[in-house]
Amino acid sequence: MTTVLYFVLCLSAVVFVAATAVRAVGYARAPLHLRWELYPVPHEAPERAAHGGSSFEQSDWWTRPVHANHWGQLKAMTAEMLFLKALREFNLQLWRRSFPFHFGLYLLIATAALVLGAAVATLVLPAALDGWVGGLVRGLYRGTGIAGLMLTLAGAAGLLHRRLTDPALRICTTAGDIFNLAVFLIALAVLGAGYALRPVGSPGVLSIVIGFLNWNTGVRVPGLLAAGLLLSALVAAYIPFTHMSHFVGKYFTYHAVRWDDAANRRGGAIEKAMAEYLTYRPTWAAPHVDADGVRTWADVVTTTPPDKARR
Amino acid sequence: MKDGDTPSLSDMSRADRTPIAHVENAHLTPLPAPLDDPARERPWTPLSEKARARYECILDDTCAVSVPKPATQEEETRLVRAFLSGLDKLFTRENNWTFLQPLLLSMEHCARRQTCADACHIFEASGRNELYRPTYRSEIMRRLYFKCVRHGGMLSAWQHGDIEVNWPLVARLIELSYRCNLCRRCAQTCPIGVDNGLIAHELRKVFSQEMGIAPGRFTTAARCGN
Repeated sequence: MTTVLYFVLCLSAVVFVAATAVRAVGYARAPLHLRWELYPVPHEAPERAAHGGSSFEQSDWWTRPVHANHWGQLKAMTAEMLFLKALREFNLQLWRRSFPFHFGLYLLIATAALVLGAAVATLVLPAALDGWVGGLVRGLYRGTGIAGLMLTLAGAAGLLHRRLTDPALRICTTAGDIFNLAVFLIALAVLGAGYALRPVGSPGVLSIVIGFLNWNTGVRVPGLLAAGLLLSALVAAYIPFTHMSHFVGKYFTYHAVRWDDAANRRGGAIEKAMAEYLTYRPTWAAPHVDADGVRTWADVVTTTPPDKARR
Repeated sequence: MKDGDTPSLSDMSRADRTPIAHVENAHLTPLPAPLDDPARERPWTPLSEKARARYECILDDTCAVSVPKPATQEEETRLVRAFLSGLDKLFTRENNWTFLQPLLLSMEHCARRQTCADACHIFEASGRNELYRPTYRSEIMRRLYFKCVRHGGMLSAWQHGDIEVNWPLVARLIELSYRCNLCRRCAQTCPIGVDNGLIAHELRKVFSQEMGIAPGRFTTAARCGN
């Protein structure tokens, strides 16, 4: 059983990282798009960002130095990532369910990082967690773990209830949407129950992770806790194959679309990419486009379609 | 709007060639004074029998594009094939590098939370008619993307939802793509950044650039060289 658990934990981590990377690389390699930013853009100078203005409003903007307001962008990103600011502003009802779900997940990720760090520290320096430092670290990951589990469970239950009962959500809800929330709920409920009901004297979370890093199959993981860990690992591996991987998509929708106000400067990367795109040969079939798969984008956009095609 | 009038996504493929939504003044959001005087309201002019006989007016009692009815079954099949061919081209860099990245992001990451709905003035002003919900059109497009472009099987249909592809669906989608004024307020409010305005924009691209179908005033503008 322990061997199976270790194997699934490893495999899930590999699948999660690989599938997330494939998705991210796919978006990153997509061609540059036409200008499509939405203001306010938070890396504009503060006086312009405040009213949704742009540096392009300045006369001769191309002769002026580019002002990048990194602090403004960081503030906007932090509020959005940690507190789901846009959802709170535009959909408060759903935010009350979605925020605990997401913040709970962040706490669970922090718990996993703390336990992993503690396990590595113990393996490198066996006395690392002796004394008050050990007590502090154990208290910290227990606190984040329990709070994370409770928040995520409450959020998932709230989101599932809303999805099943709100007529506005029902019209577009698919079986997959229900399944996705249900598996979160089941996996984390089993994990929480396994942790809370583990027999006295059974290995704790830190011992299990140390055993995993050593591939010590002699660690006797209680059945319910092992089932919770297995299910949670499988859910993590499943995420990148669904729209729940919106943590990847959101990076691109904000940084590569909504906030991308990079100017096309002579000799720059945009100009180089555009030069390539203009050699593509479109095949749109409508006569007024006059794209036959032989003529390039440059040909199509610089010529007028024949008169008969425009009728 | 009454519950019985609420169109579902599958209604778009309904073969009965009748509108799937009906709008009357009473359904619409009341106008502020002094425009709220009932005496000044004019009833909707119904489409003429001639227009109904000639064009595919099967979405909502209105015809913005006036797509001529196909004369034969073969013509319908050809038009559906042309639509699917255009849909494929929309997701290739050679044909659509101009918007491929934001379109893929909007196809693959909608969480269906409906945060965008309250920002859409067309949906609000229609009395929250489901047909004009900004995600309604997008969800059809998303299902078509996973089914016909990504060629997802049963597992994909279960995860993303399914849609029946036929000529009535395409004809209604042509009209529905012009029930949006591309203001992108939906994109501004979406926490993920999904852009329903872009989806309407790209649908119009398929109809125009692959099938040669666009509202009359647009084609007139094109004739004038604008």
